[in-house]
Amino acid sequence: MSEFLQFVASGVGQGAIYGLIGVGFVIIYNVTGIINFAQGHYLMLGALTAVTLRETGLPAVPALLLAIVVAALAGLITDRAVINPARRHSTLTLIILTVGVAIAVEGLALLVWGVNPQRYPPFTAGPPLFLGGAAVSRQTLWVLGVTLAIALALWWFFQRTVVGKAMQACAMNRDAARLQAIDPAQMSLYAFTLAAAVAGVAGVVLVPITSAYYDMGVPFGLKGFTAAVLGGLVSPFGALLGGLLLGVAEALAVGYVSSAMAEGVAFAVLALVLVARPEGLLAQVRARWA
Amino acid sequence: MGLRWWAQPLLWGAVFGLGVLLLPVADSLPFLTRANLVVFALHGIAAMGLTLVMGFAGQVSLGHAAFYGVGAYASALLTAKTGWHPLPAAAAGAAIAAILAALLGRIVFRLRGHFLAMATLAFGLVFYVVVRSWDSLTGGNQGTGGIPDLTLGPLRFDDDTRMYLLAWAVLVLGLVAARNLLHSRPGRALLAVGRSEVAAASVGIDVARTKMVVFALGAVYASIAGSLYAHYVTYVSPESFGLLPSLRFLVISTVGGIDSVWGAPLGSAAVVLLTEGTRELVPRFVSGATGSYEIVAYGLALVLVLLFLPRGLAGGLAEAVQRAAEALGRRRRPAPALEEVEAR
Repeated sequence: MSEFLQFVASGVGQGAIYGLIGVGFVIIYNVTGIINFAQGHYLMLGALTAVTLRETGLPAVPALLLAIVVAALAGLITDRAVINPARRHSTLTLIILTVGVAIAVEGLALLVWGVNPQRYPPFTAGPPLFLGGAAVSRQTLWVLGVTLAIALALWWFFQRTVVGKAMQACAMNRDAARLQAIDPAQMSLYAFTLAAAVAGVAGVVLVPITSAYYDMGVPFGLKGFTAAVLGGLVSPFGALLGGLLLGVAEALAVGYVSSAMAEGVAFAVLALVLVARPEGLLAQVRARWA
Repeated sequence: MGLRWWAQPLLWGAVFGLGVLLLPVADSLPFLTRANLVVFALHGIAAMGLTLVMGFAGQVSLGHAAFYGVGAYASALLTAKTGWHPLPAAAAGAAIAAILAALLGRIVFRLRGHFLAMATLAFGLVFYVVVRSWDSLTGGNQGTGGIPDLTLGPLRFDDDTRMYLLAWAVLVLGLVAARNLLHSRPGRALLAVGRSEVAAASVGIDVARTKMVVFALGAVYASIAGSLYAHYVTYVSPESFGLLPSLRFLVISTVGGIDSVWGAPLGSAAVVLLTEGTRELVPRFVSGATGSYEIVAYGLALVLVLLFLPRGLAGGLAEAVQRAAEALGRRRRPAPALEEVEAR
């Protein structure tokens, strides 16, 4: 039993990261119809930038915040430089454009940071804490705390602010939103920036756990997408839950079967959901964004 | 198309001859080799399959190299381990690739939207992981060697030049097949689905099935290219079929232009030049550059071509030719028919 709890505890931490990436997929997909292939690459940028800024001697808090800003800027630039000029093209073209952004960013990261993983110390040093018989690293608690804070902030943003409601309107019906003087191009800009910022946050809280490397964008992006699909690809909160489920499933498969399973679980889950329940496992939460 | 019966073979013969002329061209350019030409032809064949999928099913595949790998491993294992003749081995690979693609397509094309991108990405990564970890069958990371040279009767394709000529001939055959297909009844259904799914469905075309068939056909193209590749290098390992080659096929198809079967060879030539150029230039500016940094150029090429030349090199070339013809004041036909515009 304690073994089971241990696996769940480590799975929840990874899963929260997948969920945060998934949130970005959901926001961009609903507001613009685009599946943004570069989603995991914002996480990579955030993580690698955090390491480099810390190495220049910057204190932790400004370094991490700046890294998140860099990731958000990457999202903003993606929209303004690439998506917006092509917005009259087909969705297929827009998706390929995001693939282009992703591999250009990955190649630049390779030239800047090289192939070696970059390490970053945990936010708070110290031995793991024991919760109900499972050892939980302090960084995992940071991940969960930050994820919860992001979830609350998103809920507030989409429910209580005009911009958030406008984005929701755009997601529900783009044409009707336009009739209400909501500019879809502006909403697309917000969606990309917000999605990249959330992925950047995921990157900086993740980097002490797995260290950062230039080609982490694709695997994390794919798992984030799986999390989003698990949640039905309609609700940011569904994506967070989907991420937690995926993380736990992955940890259990690795713990009880074999570590070679790690890569396979996400893909198996993705295939199963697409075959059996394309509307997602959490269809009930689809009605509203909160 | 409006060509006379004798003009078709003449046209394709001329295209083949043009490819042969590339041999002396490659020898005189400093950064090109005959091996680059083989890569150009093989990737052109595989990417032509992807062009059909993107241009006519309106879906992007990010795992196309997996089908290339299916062909390569089928040929490798069946000829090296069980002693099959290369031709039935390649046919078996193509059949397996088609079945896998049809299964994947059945799952994905029931859904609206662009799920194929991520589903094929996952499929490609799973293929890579399976090939790498199934030691007893594929040799794992070490790969499979001892693949015999390809022989067809008295012909033996054992050097760059011969392999290039064979691969180029297969590419031209692939062009002929794709073009003829687009002018057949199923081809017209394809064009209709590519233009408007709703309109196609309204005249009784089974959209999901049509997409599935074109996806399987695209996989067959990739598989045949993979089989040729296996016999060319006589050794296959997982690295050749991972994400990077899949992205490379995507760049070839997109840069070449997805609404024309001519896009794949044009794009493949462009990507060979791009890859060699990047490997030549980048180390001069970034010291100690390692890894597959040519993906920077791939990414930029994708973005720039789609923003400024959305129909790719083939589309741009067609427009330039048309404009030149108009400038000369003699348009050959009043207005090209719809299928001709699409298939050009």
